[in-house]
Formats: sequence, structure tokens, C-alpha cells
Amino acid sequence: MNSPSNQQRPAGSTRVPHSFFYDRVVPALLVALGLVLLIVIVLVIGALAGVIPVK
Amino acid sequence: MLHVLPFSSTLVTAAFVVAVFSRYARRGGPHLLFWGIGLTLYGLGTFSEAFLGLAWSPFMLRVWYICGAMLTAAWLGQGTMYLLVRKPGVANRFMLGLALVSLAAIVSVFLAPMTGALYNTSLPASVQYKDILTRGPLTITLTILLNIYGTVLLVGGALYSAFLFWRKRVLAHRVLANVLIAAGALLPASAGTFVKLGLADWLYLSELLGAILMFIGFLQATSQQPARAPAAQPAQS
Repeated sequence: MNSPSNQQRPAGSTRVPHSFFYDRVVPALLVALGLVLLIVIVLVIGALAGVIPVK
Repeated sequence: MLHVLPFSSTLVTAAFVVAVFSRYARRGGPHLLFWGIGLTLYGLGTFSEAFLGLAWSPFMLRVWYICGAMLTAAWLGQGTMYLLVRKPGVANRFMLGLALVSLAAIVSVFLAPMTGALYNTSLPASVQYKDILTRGPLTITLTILLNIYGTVLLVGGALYSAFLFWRKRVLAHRVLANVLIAAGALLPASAGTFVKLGLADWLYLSELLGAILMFIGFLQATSQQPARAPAAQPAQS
């Protein structure tokens, strides 16, 4: 619920240090959530198109 | 549990609404206003759900369908559009469209005839509303379109924001906050899909967990992190 779109790096803030969680877990979470979003959209569109039967 | 979960969701959402509108009162910003409206609709949906677990009311069933099934995701997503789309006028035009579509949705639900089938308060509204509320093609289409619009904006916007923060390697608390918000928004969104497919059992739990995760994400995103240097300034949110 917050956007970095128009932001430069805040003055004085430092880069996040390398860590397994930040470098591996976070991107995996983003990809997983993106896939779930994609599946939800496909299911909804499938229901809309009548491909998936809606009870 | 059937009554406890929606009431708990309502309480959590009410606290969330207060937090968002308080921030809006302090800092302004249309995104906070629309998130507040969307969360109010979320709370109305869970409250009507809880009410319908105790007593039958045709009016509350219509409120439940309008707030819980049709409008919440779209108005939350509209808040994200105000945050992410900076081109002047774009978000306002979509907002006008959303307002008109929402009005059509409300009218279509309140004009939808009730079949007169008996409502069982011991069962979730989501498993029996189709036997009671006769939804026309317009209502069904609007439900699906509003949910796609809102879910793509809210979840997609949170994931996009998280990705940008992550790529820049700044404000790690906002990366985590956006992941929590995306996950929290996906829970009721996917539960709604499962209800459409006939799998309604975990809708209430997903609504509660979704509200909690989004609330934690919001608090995390808006928390003041310790300044790392005298010149540090809090980022906008």
C-alpha cells in the first residue's frame, strides 16, 4: 500500500545488506504471490467465459 | 466458529479503518481515502456475514453481497491506483467509472428478486445465497469484473511496489509490508474464487487472516524506521 514509484532513495538511508532472506526468500515470495494472483485471475476469467463451471 | 470468525474480522477491520482514516486526516492523500472506503466495505461485508449467522434479514443479505462480494476489492484497488498512477486525471477517470459501475451493482442487487427459500443461519451465507438471491447476468458479470479490477490493482500494486523497493535495496520494512499486504489481499480474493467454484468452507478464516495480514502490512509500511543519518527523511506512504 505504498509506492516507490516517484521516490529517490531517502537521504541518509543505506542499502539493505545482503542476506539469504532478502536475496533469496523475498524474490521467491514475490514470484509465488504473483503466480497465485495469476491463477486467481485465470480461474475468474475461466468462470466468466464458462470454461470453468460455476456452481 | 461460524459467528466468531466474521465478528473477529469485523473488529480487526474496524481498527484498520480507524488507522487508515487517522493517517488520512493527518497526511491527506486520495489513496488513503479510498483504502479507508474499501476497508469500510470489507467491514460491512464481514459484519453482515456475522449478522446473518445469528438472524435472517433480506436487507443484510443484499448488503453482504454488495460489500463482501462486489465492491470491496475494487475500492481498495482504486486506492492503489491513486498511489501508483501519477499521470494527472487517470485515476480520477477510473474512479468515476468505478463509482458508476458500483452504483449499477448496488441497484442490480437491490432489484434482484428473492426466491423465498429458507435461510439457514447455521450455514455460511456464501453456500446458500444463490438459492435465495436471484442474480441476473449483469450482477454476475459486474461481480467478476469488479473483483478482477480490484485484485489486479491491489495485489499487483503491492507486489510491484515490493519489487521496486527490493530492487533498489532500500526500505526493507516496506518490502515486507507490501508482501504482507499482497498475501493478505490474495487470501479473501482466492477464497471468493473458491466459493464461486463451490468450495466455501474456508472463506471466513481467509477473511480474518487477510484482514490481519493487511493490517500488519499497513502498520509496518507506515512505521517510522530509525534514522540512519541526521539527514534521513521518512518516505511518503
